[in-house]
Amino acid sequence: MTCEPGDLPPKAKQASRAYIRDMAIAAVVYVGVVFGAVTLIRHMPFSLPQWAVVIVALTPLIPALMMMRTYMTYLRSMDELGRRIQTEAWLISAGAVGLGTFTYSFLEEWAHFPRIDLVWIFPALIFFWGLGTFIVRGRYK
Amino acid sequence: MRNRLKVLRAERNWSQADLADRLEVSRQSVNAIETGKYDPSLPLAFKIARVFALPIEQIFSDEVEAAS
Repeated sequence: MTCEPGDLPPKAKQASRAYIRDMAIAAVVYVGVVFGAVTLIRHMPFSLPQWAVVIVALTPLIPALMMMRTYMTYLRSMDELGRRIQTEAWLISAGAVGLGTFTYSFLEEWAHFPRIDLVWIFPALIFFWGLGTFIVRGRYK
Repeated sequence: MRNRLKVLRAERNWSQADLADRLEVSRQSVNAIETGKYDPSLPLAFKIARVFALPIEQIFSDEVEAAS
């Protein structure tokens, strides 16, 4: 999620373009890694030993770390208002996902609601960060 | 905090984007400061003072924004 290019000074425009490019590269790597990992674990005629499955299962962390590094670089290129908006957006996201998972865990345990995989926590964080950015940015318009 | 950014900018015929370029911030930041929705940090306030070549207290005053 970036500012509108017309709103940014030249240095920030460069950083915005680098952010989009590096995120796209990390996304392509992510798709490749997940596709490769699923093929290795589920669709091979042989089964991998447990230690190898653990290593393969950890490989999606590589593009995730690439994305995090890209985001941190972009964050450091922002002006102070941009960083404040991002901080508030992450607080909204952490609050929403933290309270949501906390509440849902009781519903799962006591009211027998369907189990939700942990893999959804990160996408939920990203979703509420995006929503938070939209809301907080609107407050400063 | 009140400020005279809009008036000072108008006196120089600068757009918000012109001032944003000089301050190396986004146009949204300039707009948020002008409308009193965001108070700049001390380093940015000093930078604003340098850009307008004025003492900081001639740009910012410690009054609550009436409209906010």
